[in-house]
Amino acid sequence: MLSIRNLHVSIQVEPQQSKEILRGINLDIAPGTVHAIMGPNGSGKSTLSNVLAGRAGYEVTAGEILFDQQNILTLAPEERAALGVFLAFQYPLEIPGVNNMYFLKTALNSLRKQRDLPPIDAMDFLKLIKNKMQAVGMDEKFLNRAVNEGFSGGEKKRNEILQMLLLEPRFAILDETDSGLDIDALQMVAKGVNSLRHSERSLLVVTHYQRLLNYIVPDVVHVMVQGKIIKSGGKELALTLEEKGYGWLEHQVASS
Amino acid sequence: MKAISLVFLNGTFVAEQSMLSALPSDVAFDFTKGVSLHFPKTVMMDIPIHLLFLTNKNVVFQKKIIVAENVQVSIIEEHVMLQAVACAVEMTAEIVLEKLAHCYYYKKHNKTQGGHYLNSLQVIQKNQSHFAMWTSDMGTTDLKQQVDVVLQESHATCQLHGLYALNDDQESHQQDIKIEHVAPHGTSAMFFKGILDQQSRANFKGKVHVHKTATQTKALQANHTLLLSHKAEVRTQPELEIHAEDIQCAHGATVSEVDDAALFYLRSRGMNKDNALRMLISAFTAEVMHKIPHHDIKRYFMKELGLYEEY
Repeated sequence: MLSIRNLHVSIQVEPQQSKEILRGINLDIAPGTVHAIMGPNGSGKSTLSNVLAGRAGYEVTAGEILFDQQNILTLAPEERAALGVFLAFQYPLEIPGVNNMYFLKTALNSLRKQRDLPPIDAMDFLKLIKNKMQAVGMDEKFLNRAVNEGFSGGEKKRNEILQMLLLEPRFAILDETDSGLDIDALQMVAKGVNSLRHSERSLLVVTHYQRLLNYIVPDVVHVMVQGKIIKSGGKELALTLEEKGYGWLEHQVASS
Repeated sequence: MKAISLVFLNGTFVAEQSMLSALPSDVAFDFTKGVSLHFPKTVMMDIPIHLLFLTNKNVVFQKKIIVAENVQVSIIEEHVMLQAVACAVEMTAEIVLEKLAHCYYYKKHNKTQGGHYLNSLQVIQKNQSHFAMWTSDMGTTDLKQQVDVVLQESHATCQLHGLYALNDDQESHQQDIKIEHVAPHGTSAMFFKGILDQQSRANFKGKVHVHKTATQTKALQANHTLLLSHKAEVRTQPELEIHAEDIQCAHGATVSEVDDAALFYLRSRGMNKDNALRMLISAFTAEVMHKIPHHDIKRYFMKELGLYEEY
């Protein structure tokens, strides 16, 4: 489904100076699988998430990202969304003045339009969204608030998962979705995510801690350090990391 | 939009295009030299009056509106330039609100190619009267507007809102607003927002003058600008002159650009760049547009501005 080949990404730090953040990432994600990327702060996890979703401000200096064999690097964020790529943001944006329900409906209809489907009927939408809100334990009052404005950290993350349940992406990236969540919210979010697990749908869970992976159990765990994937393994790798910390691997890399 | 429509071509009343018969019989009017409307104590104005000014040559005219005690009126004043010609329209207007009178005034300047407007408006407010104005400029070539409101007697309230959306190089918008608090317990608010694209220019000057006699005044002033281009230019000058004790005044101005992170957020959810931008611009204008109490008029304005109606 998703194949990342030798991806190198830099950011401009000063007018004449750029810094390489991703230094040759290779990753293959098959349909129906859940991959986790773990790594210390500053290892490039969020850069990878943003580049996958098409955020501007990153320079891809080498490599490609294939989604269903198609290189998506030249596609706009909305085109990637139409193909089924979804990013649950680490820091969801507050958009004062935009009603959350209207935002959700516009998002769904924008995707439907790109897929040549008619817009969803207002009543059907209301039924659908209320149903999904229940699944993530969100109060209906959040429909009539401005997008994420004044939401707590947990409410913002629930709103991200709500969007994911609504838009039903084929490939979803969860960028540090567990940060700022208490245990109840974490379980609820994980329940929502797990309800989407499907043989045709893949997930990339980006996280600093092993905690989330107790609830969203991955098939493959990768460790990213300094812009490279230095180790991959089964779900037990996450536990080893929890126990030994990243220093253990960083040390291995240094000595190899 | 349900309204009593009165049409003027180059300042001259066009009876056959107007709904004069729908105007309540006790409203005194004179359209021989511009517009003069007097709403007496007895009148009940359920639906707004829509003054439509069509222009294709240079014209000068006057408006005078008097709203008697306890009467509530809503007036929409719309300006359309019929051709893409360079012509100048000069208007002076006076509105008098008697005790407890309420006036909702909506002013809409449509996009022009070569239209120059020079407007001046004076509003006199008596005891406990309420004046609320929404003025919008959808891209007039050149619009200069001077508004003077005098809160002459106590407990009068005045809210002036404005929205200007300019997107052509030569367009310029100038507001020069002065609110005079003369009597005690007056409340005023100025709330103007601008969206400037290309090489357009806007100049906002807002002044609140609190006289020594105007104790317990509350005045608020805000001007916010969203720049869509690096070549657009805005000058903003909020000003307070206070001579009274025991008052509350606040003012503020901001100039900002579109938030790229917010734009990416919307696009990552499937909206194309234009629609995402339109959503953010709609949000920027929400504070001004949402305060319009007439639902029909709100929709009319927002549709014309190309904004999302529901959000």
